[in-house]
Amino acid sequence: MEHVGVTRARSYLSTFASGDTEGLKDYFADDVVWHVGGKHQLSGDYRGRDALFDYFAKVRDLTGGSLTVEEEHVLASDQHTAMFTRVRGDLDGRHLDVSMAQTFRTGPDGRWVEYFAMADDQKAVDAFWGAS
Amino acid sequence: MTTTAGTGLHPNALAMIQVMHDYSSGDHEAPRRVFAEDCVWHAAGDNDYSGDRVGLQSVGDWFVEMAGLADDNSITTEPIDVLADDTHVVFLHRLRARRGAKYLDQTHMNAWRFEDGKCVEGWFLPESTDDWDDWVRG
Repeated sequence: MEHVGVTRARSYLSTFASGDTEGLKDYFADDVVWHVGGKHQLSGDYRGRDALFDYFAKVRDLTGGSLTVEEEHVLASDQHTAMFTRVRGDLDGRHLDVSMAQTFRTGPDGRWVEYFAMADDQKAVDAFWGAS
Repeated sequence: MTTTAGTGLHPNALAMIQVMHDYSSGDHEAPRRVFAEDCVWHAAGDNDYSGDRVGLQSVGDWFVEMAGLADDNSITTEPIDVLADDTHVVFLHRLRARRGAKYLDQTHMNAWRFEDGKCVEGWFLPESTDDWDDWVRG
């Protein structure tokens, strides 16, 4: 039987793919912390749902909505959800195509409170987004 | 089959936990037991040990090198959560280690992809790469 965290993660990916930004908000706690690694213009920590969705909007604007996140594998426990995904996108003639290991920490109400992730090719991610 | 922490551990989860326990107990060669010959290891951060290692020898050496950075017997690892199934394991743990005047106390994510019972690809991500880099640089 599929863990509820796996079901939730797949629903999230489906909502993301549909472009329903408002629908994504239900997945995150108000005080969510989203860590973006690397050395590029978007690197850093985004604290709070408003800041997170400003970040999502910037990603969408920079890539013209071309960023896609495709499930490769999902695991979940009561405390965490892990997604292995293929992330692709285009920006100023550059193309991104990386595998990512992503982990979400789950709060008591099932919404995600923290996120951190790593690509299989961080240099490609840094080059794609570019410096600030 | 996917298991959740506390409800029964998948064999891949048990293997990971045992390897990390043995590693932190001084057996720095332990990770070599679970990696495939053609494995790839992705290490986060911006230090001399970041980036990709390819092949069992090189990946195993990374773990030995990491242990060598810490003062003797100063590494402790406390499991936080493990998620596992037949093909993937994600292991979250609190790692503490001393390096001279610097003391590391962070949550680390290790994500492993398995094929035929061996890890073919892994990701290492500390909760703060800046703090990790600072500790590694000594």
